[in-house]
Amino acid sequence: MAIIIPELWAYVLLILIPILAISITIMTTYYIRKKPSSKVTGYLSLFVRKLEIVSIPEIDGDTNQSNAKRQIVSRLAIVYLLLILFYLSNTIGVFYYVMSDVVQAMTQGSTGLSRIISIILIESPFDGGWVGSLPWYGHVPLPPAGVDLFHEPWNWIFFTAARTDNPNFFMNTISDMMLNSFFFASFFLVPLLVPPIRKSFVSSLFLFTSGMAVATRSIFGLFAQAWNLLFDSAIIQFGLEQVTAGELQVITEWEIISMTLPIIIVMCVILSIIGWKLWRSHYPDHNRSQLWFMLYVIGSFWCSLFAILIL
Amino acid sequence: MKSYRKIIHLIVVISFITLLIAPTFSGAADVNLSPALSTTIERDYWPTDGWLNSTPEEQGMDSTKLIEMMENVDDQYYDLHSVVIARHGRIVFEEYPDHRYDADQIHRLYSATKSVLSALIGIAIQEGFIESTDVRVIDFFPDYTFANMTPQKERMTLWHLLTMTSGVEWDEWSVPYEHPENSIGLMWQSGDPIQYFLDLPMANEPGENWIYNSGGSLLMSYIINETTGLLPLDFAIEYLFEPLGITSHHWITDLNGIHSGSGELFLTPRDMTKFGYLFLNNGTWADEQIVPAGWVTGSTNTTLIQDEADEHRGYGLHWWTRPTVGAYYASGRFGQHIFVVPEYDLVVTFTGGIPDGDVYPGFLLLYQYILPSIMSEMSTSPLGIAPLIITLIALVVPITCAGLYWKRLTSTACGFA
Repeated sequence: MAIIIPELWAYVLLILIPILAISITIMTTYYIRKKPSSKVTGYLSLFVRKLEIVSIPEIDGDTNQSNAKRQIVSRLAIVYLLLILFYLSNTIGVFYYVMSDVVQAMTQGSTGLSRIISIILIESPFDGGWVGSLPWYGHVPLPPAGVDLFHEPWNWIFFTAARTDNPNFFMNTISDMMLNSFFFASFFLVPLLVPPIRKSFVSSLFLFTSGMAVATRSIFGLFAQAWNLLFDSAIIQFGLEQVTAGELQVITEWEIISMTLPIIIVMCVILSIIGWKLWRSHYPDHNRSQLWFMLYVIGSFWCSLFAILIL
Repeated sequence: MKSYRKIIHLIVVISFITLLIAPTFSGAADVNLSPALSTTIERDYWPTDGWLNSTPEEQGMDSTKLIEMMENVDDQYYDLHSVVIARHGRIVFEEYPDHRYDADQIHRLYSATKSVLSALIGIAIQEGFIESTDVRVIDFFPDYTFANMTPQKERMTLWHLLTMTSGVEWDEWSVPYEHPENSIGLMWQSGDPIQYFLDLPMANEPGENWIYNSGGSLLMSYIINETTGLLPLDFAIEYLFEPLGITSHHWITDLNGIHSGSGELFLTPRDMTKFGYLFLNNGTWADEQIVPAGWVTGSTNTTLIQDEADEHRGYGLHWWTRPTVGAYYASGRFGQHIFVVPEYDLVVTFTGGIPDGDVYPGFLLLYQYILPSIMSEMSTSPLGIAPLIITLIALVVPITCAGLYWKRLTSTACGFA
């Protein structure tokens, strides 16, 4: 089962997702403040209020046993929350990855290669959540038939890059994709500058993890495509048509890898710092949890790249 | 403590829902385009005495796409006479949209004949009638005179005829075939087509320029006749048609009684498919090497890009190729096609009466319907059950660790007690 999103809806979602996330955060915060003792507030507070973490006490009586249990459950809840956020943010990341390609203008020379975007397809939200697979519809006039086949962004871009006679096409596409990704990531990361949003526990973590996934997905994809091309030696489109590394005349796969890897490392550092600051704003006195959260940020960052690479 | 119970309840509910939806999604991608990699397949039978039939679904194809294809043929008024699709050695689809044609009726191959002729040349080399493709053309015709003799003409070989790079002054595409200035027309009008061809002045160095040249194909019919002592049809029957079980055939001869290799062979669509199937199997048929495997490879590899402006279309040894695609095909006027797609173990034959000037729909139908009908077979999740396993690990490991930690904590406490 695949999820198909019409192009118009994709554009609506592009704007709607961060707006919805921020709106829900603000409304929830407002509701909790207005009606602090209602039953609904009890559930909503889970999204806004942080879970208290203190050191797990030694068990020497019923009281401490209860406290210890509560602390373990809190930690467990945070772990599951982070796992859900990883899944959710990766799904959102691949969606924005495709959209960062879809929104850019394309001039591909005179070869007639073209992309037709009428729908965007998530092969499976389950797969998409873990690794991301959200291709769109590309078209090659060989033969002159519009075949309903879908392509992942860099896969198609590399393929068309080898087929086009427009020398500017590929480099322009790379820079546009990167800029679009950073722009879309700002939808999620910039709101963290607003204190009420930053202090909303689940919301801030959602915005941070989503921003991280959106910012990195394009460059991960570029790196992975160059890497795969280097070792698999060919991109296959339409199940038959091949493009080899040697056909990329503007840039080599090694150049792409050497160009993207430093950016990926710098992004890891920047996002780790943002994550560290965010976690500190929730748990300023709990150094151990800060360490674990940093491990989560760095781990999920490299896990996402690794998942794209092996596929 | 109540709120923490709620958290646990929430986790349990989410886990349960995830487990429920996981199998639904984990094997569910509609469009995975990974191609089949295997091209060497052991055959359980050979269609010498006739093709076995099968359904598209049994051979991994989506019949709805093929039905859509025929609807498109109707909608577009394509003058198709037959469509035969063979996959994994079975005919899975066979239609005769024009009621004047049926499975038993032979159909003219037009220039698709050239690919059969090429196979005959390969066989003649295998059987020792022809030394190699490097033999000079003039050496095949010792009894003929050659006007406009130049060193270039002396260097023209069988290879150049096969690759359409003979270098002779020739033009059969700029004007319609029926036009009196068409090189083909001039050749036939001359009364002695071979002498006409051999006398042509050279325009290029052999091997340099690709120019479609049916005259060279006709010349090769004569080369078969000269070297084997058999008429091309007799040679074909003995070495090609009989092993393949092709019994219905007709081959028009020229004024000299030689069967013309440029485009006058008639076969049934099923037998055309057999010929494609022979090449699909690297020239092997019923464990016998009919056409040398090297010849099949050489014929179907791109020797030359046919047109510099169209890098996607190439030419082998009287076979058309797609340099960027793992497919090759025999092609004849009015839409005669035999497509061979080794990646998908597929042979597709079209015969038709498409008017000159119209785009032949063969490739369009192949790409728009036939290949997608196979691709839907490969609709498997790129990850298989991996997401399910990852999810289970993600759900189970934290709670197990927490449980173990709690056990350790309480047992330590008990120890103290």
